[in-house]
Amino acid sequence: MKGAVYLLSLEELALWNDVDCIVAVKEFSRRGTLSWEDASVLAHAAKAKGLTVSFEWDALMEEPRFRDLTLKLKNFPSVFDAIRVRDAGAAWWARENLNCDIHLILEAGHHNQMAIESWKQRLGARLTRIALSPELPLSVIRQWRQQLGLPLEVMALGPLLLFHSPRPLLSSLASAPEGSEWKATGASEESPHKGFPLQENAHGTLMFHPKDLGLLERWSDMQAAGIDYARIDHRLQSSVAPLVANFIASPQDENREALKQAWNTDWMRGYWDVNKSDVLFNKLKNQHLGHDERLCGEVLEGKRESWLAIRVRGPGLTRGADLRVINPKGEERSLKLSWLKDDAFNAVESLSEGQVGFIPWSSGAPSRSKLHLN
Amino acid sequence: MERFTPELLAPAGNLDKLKTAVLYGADAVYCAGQDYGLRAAADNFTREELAIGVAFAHQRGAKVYVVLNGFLHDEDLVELPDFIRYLKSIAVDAVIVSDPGVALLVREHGPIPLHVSTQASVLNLAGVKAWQELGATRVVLGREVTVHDAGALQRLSGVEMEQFVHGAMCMAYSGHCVISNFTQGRDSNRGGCAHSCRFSYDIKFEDGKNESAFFMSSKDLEGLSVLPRFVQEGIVSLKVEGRMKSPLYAATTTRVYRRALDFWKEHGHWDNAPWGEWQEELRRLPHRDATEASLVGPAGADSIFDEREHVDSAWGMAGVVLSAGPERGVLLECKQSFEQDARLEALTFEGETVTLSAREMLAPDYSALTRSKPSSLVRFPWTPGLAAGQVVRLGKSL
Repeated sequence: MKGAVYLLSLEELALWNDVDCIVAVKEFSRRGTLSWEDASVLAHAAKAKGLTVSFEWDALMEEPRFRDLTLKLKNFPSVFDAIRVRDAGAAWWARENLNCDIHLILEAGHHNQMAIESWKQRLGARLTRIALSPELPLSVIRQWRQQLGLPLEVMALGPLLLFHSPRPLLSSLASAPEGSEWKATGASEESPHKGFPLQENAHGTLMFHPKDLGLLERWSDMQAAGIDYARIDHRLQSSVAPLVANFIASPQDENREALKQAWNTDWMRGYWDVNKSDVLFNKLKNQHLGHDERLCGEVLEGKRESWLAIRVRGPGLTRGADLRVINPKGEERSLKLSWLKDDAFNAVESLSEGQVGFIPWSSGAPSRSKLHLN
Repeated sequence: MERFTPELLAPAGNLDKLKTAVLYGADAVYCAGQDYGLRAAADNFTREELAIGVAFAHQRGAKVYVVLNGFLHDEDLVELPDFIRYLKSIAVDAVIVSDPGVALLVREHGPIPLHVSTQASVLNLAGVKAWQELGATRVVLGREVTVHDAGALQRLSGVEMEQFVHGAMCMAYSGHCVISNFTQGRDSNRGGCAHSCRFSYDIKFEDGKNESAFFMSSKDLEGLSVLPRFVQEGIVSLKVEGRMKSPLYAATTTRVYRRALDFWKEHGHWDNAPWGEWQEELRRLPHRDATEASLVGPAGADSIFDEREHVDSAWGMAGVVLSAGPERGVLLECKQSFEQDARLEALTFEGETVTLSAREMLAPDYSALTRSKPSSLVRFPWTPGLAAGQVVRLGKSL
């Protein structure tokens, strides 16, 4: 497993050995800081050291900006071994217009193998790396590495981007012109988390998790799972670069602890061990009010000891039918349709889907109770 | 030759809302099954309800699109092929996806016409072409794309373009917000969005300045005044957001945009169009402040809704007409209580609104009634113009 880092300066470059380098230019990378000229100098210097270098294009772009900026990429410098792209359009454009390898940043979504497979089919041999979503647990990544046959990259340490808006959300608060760069922290009234790092730049507004994703304690697990590249994003705290370099060169406990001590943000493992981010969904709905093929109506209102007003669902209702009434608490009662009336309170023999009618009263059958055929 | 008019695509959070939208004139509705969409808390549709909804819509010339636009995990895909085959069997008109893996499955187990969800944040021609390769026939563009650019993308790609015209908006690039995932353990891209962008935040700037603000909350999109641009650019479909919202919302938005589009269809121009009247109708709904967002140019700081959520509408939902006729009278399903002096207006499918007299209301069994209750039924004498499925609104005391 190889370390992957962002190149920030020539001084730092001296620290890096046997790592994969990423160059982030302001115009193309949403957190990029480099000019084209600086990026070119850095990339050439890295290549001279024998390092591999990729060009990051992770900014999302509407058509006019996309069209203008891709003109700059037409003569893609050969110093770059690959282009790293996030947007589906950028990936398509790179396939059609460049000859270099393509690294896909699939950190938003792409939580199933079929999604990755769709890109394999379309990019073919040009696709030489996938940067995976931080929402995937190690067990899934291990399985994918065996089955996909593609080099995989994960972020092993760095800030977790939670939110990206193209709109300028900080400069408006600062009563300053858009286009400036702003940094701040935010504390939500509803969340126990405080100190969300915020940043506004030419690509919009970014918000990060107060804690960084930190998986260095699981370095050996990553290696065992076959992960090919472990990215460490130290751009918000470049002073720790020597400690990052030490750890990548020698991923020992003491080097990790030294880095952790110097890193100015707490670490978290996120979904690395397990992802249960859908288990709360069941609580968002009343599970007692489920539907099945025997559903035949729902209670709209009841008049004690007199009637239930209902709306017919499904195949319809006929007088004499045996029903089960299930209320929102999940309590069930039996009910026989000894009589049936239509919406005008006239006795009828049957009602069909969508019609409103009246049936004998049943206790414990408030509004929203369901009627099922026995 | 019939004049080009964009499709009006309305939200259908459940079967009743589907019927409401279709009856008020939607050309198409979008809805979800119990899984695979982005509104886990919505009622959504069982398979049986989907079949009923599709039949209801098709009988009235409307289309039904089913959303499968979650970013799904491997285990979510296990039962998806069976659901896709079911959707094909009941002849849904398209599915809306954002996950390329889901697109592959739709191609394999449908096929069903494939629309790309705004959740995929398609913003440029190359992005359209990337999805075209996966079989997409329509793209619901990212909300950051202007109408002008959308028209160009449609002409250059040959793929149908759909844009949001009305409703609440994500502040983030859609599909690129995981605040709920990492702060509340709820996957926003599988239906668990906790709407953290609507919270107030205390902001501390590097220079020491502090601000407390709803800085991530967007005003609601209102694209009514942009309709001439949509028509001019030939945008195929205009989508109204709001599957979680009330039947009053579904009825009002569909009714207003239907009338506006019909005005264009009839006249071929917008001269003397009653813009003020249409806008006033929309503003009678509970709403945040309105913005055109990025429909005309990039959304700026003035698109931020820096206020706590609140309802400030002069009108609320009184109920839905369950049945109506000269002999049987009018039966209303009430959503909130009102008394005999209440102002009640039925939103008719055609023509002006119709006033109902609450003084004449009766209980369902024709006994006397002075006050309605939420989730109760109320009878009114027959009033011409009323029909089953119409929504009745209640004027609030201000």
